[in-house]
Amino acid sequence: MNDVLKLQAVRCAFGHRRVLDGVDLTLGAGQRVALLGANGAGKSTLLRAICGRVPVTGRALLDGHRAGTAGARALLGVIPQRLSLFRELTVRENLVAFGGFQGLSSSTASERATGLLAWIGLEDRSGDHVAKLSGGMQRRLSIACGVIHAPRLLLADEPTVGVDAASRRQIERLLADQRAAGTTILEATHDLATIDDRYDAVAILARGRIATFGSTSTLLRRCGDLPHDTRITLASTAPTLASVPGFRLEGNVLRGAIGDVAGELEALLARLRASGTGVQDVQVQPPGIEQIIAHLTHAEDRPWQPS
Amino acid sequence: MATILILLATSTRGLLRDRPAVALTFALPLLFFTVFAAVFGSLDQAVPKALDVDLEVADSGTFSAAFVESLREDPMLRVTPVANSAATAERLASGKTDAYVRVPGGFDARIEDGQTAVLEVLTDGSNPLVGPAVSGALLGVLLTTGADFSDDLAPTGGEPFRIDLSDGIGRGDSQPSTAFFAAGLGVLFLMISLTNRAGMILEDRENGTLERLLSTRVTLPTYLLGRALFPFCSVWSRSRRCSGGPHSCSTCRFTNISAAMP
Repeated sequence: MNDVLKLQAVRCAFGHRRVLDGVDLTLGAGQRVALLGANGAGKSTLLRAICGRVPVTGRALLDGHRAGTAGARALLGVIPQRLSLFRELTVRENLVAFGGFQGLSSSTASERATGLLAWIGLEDRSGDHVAKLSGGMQRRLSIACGVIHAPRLLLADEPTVGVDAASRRQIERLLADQRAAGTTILEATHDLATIDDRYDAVAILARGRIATFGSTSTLLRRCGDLPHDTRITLASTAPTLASVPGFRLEGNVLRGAIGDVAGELEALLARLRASGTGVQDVQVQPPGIEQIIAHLTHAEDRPWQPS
Repeated sequence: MATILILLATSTRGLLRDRPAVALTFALPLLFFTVFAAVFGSLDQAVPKALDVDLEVADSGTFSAAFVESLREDPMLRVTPVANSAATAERLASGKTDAYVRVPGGFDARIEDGQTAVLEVLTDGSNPLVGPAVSGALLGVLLTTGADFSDDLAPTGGEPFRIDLSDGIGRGDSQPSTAFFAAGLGVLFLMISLTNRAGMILEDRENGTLERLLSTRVTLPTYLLGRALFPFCSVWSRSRRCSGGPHSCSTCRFTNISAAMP
C-alpha cells in the first residue's frame, strides 16, 4: 500500500511552547483515520502542519511531496471546522470558485460542480446564496468544496460538529463515499462517542505526539473497563449501604464508579431492591476524553510540561 | 469611568496586537493623504493666467466688429478666430482652448431693435473657474464696447446683453483642470474600495476562509493581489467610462461635448 501521508518526527513550536513534539504517523491509500485528542492537544496544529501552514521540523510528506509545496497542496483537500465559504456567492458559484482555486478549468469545475450538487443533495438550491442554507447544508457544501479536485488526502476538522443527527448521517455518508472512492481521510475529533468501525484506525494525540495508534476495535476494547461515574438517587437514606465498595453516600445519593456497567450496576440495583431501598434515579456518566487518553497512554494525572 | 478606561485599554491592546488593523489605522491614511496631495497639490495650476477663447463671428454689424476688436485687446483673453464650431469640440476636449464664443447672426440687429443680444458660449466645465471667468470677461468687454453705442442699447429698459453658457468636459491628460473631477472621484472610489477590500481580507481571516484558501493552490501573494486588484480595476473601468473611451456613456452631458455645442 502506498503511503499517502508520512510524518516523521514532526515538531512545531510557537515561541517557547512546543505544540508538536515528534509526531510519527503514516496513512495508506483509502484509510480513514480518526485523530483523537483533548482540546488543545494540537490536532488543528497537526492538520495545519500537513497543509504546510505552520513551520515544522522533521519530515512531512504527501505522496512524496513535501507539505506546503504546490505538488502537495494539489493532492490535499481540506474541510475546516468553520465553514469558510463565500457567503455572498451561490452554492454553485462556491463550488466553481473552489475548483478554480485548485487549478481546475472553469468548464471542468462547472462539470464537477453539477455532479457534486447531486451528491450532496443541493441541486435544487444551487442558485441560492450560501447564507440562506441551513447549517447542515452549508457543512455538506463545505465538504463538496474540499473534494471538488478529487484529492488523495482529505483533512477533516470535526466535520460533524454543530449539526443535527440527520445532517450528521448525511455527512457520514459523504465521507464514507470518499473513502470508498479511495481517498485517505484524516479526521480530527474530540468526541469518543463518534468513534466506531467506520474508522480503520484511531490515532490519539497527547503531549504533542501520537501516543496511541491502533484499530478502532482495539481502542474501544481497552476503554471498556474504564470507570463510569455513577449516581443513584435513593428514595430514602439507607446508612447500611455506605459499606458498598467504591461508593459513598452523600445525603440520599449513592455515588461511586463502576467499570462493567452492565454487570456491576445490575448487581448493585438488585442489592438495593433486596434491602428494601427504593431507587428514584440512576445516572451513569461515561469517562471523559481526558480520562480515556490518560488511560490509553498510561499518563500520570499531572499537566504536561514541554521538554 | 473605570469601565470606560478598561474598555479603552482593551481596545488599544487589541488594535496593537492586530498587525493588519494597525496597518489600516495608521498606514492607509498616510497612503491616502499622499495620493490626495499628489492629485490635488497642483490645483492652483487649474486657474489659467489668461483664457484661451475660440471666437466665431457670424455677424458683420458695427457693434460686433467693435466687440471683437475689444476682445482681442483684452489682456485676460487670448482670442483665436475660428470659422465654425467643427474643430472646437476637439480643441475644448483636449484642453487647447478654455471656451468657445459665438457671435450669432443678427447680433447687431437685435441691439438696434432694442432686444437683448445673446452671446453663445461653451466652456470647459471640468474647471469650475473657467465659466465665471469667461462670462465676466465677456460681459466686461460687452459693456465697455456698449458704452460707445449707448443710444442703441435696450431702450425698452431690458437687459442689453445675455450670455448663454453651456459646459462640457475636456479629457486632455496634460491639463490639471481636466483631470480634476475625474481624479477626485477616482481617489474617492479607490479609498472606499480599498477600505472595503481590507475589511474583506480581515473577514476572510476571521471566518477561516483565508486559511482554507491558503491550503489550496492559492499562495498568499496571489491572494493579496487578487483581493487588491479589484478596486484598481473598478476605478480604471469607471475612469474609462467617464473619459470618453469606446464604452463611454453617450447620454452623459459631461462627456458628450458635441451634443452641448450651440
